[in-house]
Amino acid sequence: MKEHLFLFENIGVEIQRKTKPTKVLNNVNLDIQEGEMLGLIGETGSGKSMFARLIIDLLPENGRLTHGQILHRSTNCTDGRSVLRGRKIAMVFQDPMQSLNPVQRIGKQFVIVLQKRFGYSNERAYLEACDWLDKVQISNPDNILNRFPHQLSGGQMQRIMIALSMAVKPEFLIADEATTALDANIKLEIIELINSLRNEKNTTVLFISHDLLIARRYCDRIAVMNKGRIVEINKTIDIFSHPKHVYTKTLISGLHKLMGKSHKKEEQAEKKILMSVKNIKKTYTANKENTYALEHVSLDIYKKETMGIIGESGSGKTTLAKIILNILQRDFGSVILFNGDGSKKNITRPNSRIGAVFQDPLGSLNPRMTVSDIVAEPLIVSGWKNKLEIEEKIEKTINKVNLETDLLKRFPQMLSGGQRQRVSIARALVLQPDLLVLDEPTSSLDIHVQGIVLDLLKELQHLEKLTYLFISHDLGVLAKVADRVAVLYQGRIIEQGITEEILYNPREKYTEKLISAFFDNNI
Amino acid sequence: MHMALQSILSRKNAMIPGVFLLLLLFSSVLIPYVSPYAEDIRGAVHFEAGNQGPSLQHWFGTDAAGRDIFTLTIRAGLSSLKVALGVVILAVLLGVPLGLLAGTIGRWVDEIIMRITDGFLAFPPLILPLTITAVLGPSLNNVIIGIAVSWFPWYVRIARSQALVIRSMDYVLLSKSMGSGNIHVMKKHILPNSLSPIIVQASIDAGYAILISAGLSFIGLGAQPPEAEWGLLITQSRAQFLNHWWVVTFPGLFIVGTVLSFNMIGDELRNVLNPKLADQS
Repeated sequence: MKEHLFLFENIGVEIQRKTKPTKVLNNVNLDIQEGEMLGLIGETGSGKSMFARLIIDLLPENGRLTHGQILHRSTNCTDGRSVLRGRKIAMVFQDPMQSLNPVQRIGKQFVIVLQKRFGYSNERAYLEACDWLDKVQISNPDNILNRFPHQLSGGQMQRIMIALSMAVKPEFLIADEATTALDANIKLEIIELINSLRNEKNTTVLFISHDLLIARRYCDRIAVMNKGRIVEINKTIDIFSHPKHVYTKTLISGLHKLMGKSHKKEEQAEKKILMSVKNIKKTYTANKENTYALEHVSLDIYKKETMGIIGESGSGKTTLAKIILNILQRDFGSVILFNGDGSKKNITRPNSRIGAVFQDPLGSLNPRMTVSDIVAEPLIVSGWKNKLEIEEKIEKTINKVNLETDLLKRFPQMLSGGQRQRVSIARALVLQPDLLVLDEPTSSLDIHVQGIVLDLLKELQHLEKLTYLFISHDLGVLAKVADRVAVLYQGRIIEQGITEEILYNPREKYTEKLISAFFDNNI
Repeated sequence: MHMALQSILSRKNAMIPGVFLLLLLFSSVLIPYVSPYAEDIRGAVHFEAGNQGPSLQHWFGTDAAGRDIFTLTIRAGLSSLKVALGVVILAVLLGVPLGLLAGTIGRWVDEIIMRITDGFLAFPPLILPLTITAVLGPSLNNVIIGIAVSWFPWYVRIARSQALVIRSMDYVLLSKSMGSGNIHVMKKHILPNSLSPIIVQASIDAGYAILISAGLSFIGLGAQPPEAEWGLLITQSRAQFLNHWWVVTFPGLFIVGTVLSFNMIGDELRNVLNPKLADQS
């Protein structure tokens, strides 16, 4: 039996909101053993991050510990954990852009931390920083240390954050959603890095995430958190093979569903073309330098199919979506839409036969409009006048996406993430389009809600005879929903074909890498 | 907006100045009917009662012409509130639509509008209202026009910067993908979401407008006697200031109180309307 590094007994934390206090952590008991990697899994809002902030004694101003005690190596440290912070405990946050100081060069940030912790001289700290960048596999450390955070990529910044946190030689590292904001293959590299550093330095790691797959691969034990309580804690294998708590069970069954073992294929017989995208080229000009966002992109979309587009961020996925929607001018090429009678038209203006759903459910809803105004907007823009007809249409559409009509008077801020995304879908559906452009529609949702929204999309496709252009960086989601897939890499479609063929027989190196990263992740 | 109004009234820091401004408004409207010295407002003089200190008959004392300073000071509140409201409304009506156009349409429209407003901003803050009022002729209404014309560029800037942010939000892109035009986007998306900073700026500016108009009246460009205006009251009695402290002190205190009140309300509005802070406190 290993020694307890931290022991949390009966923890309760309250947040003072408006007038009444809300309990965010309730009766939490948890032991963290020396040298282990403990996964803390839960949906957004379950209290994971609050727990992390409690450990480093950085609760928000309106939050306080109501009861319970915290032991660090059997000494009580319920009060005054701030001395541990930056010496014994280090933390890596989700968004490296917000964790690094934007106005200081990377090297300077290392020097400040190392001087404070060890009292090193400038030169010594600088050398140490180079060393650490080497360890986190950043090439050319001298150059990087002279840069500002905005001159680095997301993956590089997160590596630097990890290097910074580990440089103080902590015995305990908290990684709060440290890989969530990163692309699939970078995600793996980062967690691999944390894991190897942990083994090398014998650091204890608390890995906070909503991503079950990653936790399963790397964590020794997993604690499942729901609504401010730890509902289950066990060895990783046992959690996955014998989940005890109901909530854990739904999480894990959601995971199996998402992996999409049962892949049905029907209605492949009729193949009428709906849209043909030809030879699209788009260049962005910034600071007199041209960057090619898209080059020679061509693809055909057939009626009632789901065409998937996969690519990492920066590959041009969203640019392609905007060009198809005609909210971004293309430099070259055509977007041809086919009518039922076989006639066709190159569209250059937004078309009511194409609807769209974007990634961020909150950002795509105007905070000053009610749900009913939001869903009515496409109708009003396209010239509907009769109030009764509009109301009737809204109600019908809202019912289609399984929302209650009493939500119509609410503002988007008062809805949950899943509800918001359903409002977005309703708005896209209200004009009864033929094609829906779905740009990462489920990426910002919890795994549980993700499943629900995907099911809804599937059902709607069947009922409304819709065609989807489904854009995602998540191979797991595409493998489940897409009939065909196109791989977008640095502005070019390097490969396209039937999903199974791409998955099992990729022709390009990059596709292979993507797929192996995904399957590794799911073993 | 209704909720914002409710929550601002429940805040102590906004309630005191709010009550002060409301009391000032009511009493300045009612004072001609209740004050025994109501004819002083219309320019009556009683030299026999001149230069009396504060007493039970004359709460704030009298000036050299024997006019009751309390009655005049309270009455002057009406012209000051008129200036505050007039300047802010005029500047917003002029500035906000221009700013929204510049930010939403961009390109050459933006270039033209912003270069013109930059021209206005190049002047030192007091010189432009002073020049405009001097050219139009001294009167309170011209003071309002003068200040509003020199301040509207700030509203252009605020509205433009909001429009620039909001026009790249997903909901605007989606709206455009439905085929909506610039006017629809401005009316439905950009304007409602840029109101908060404009309201905050307006409430703070209301206070400064009073300050500037008192300044212009002080140098004879604003309200004309026998009109009651704080700046004017001070300039009329400034010669007696060393012997009779009350003639300038009370109008001066009211200027300070009113400007401070508008500023405090502006500060609180900023807190209430800031979505990041809305959840706390």
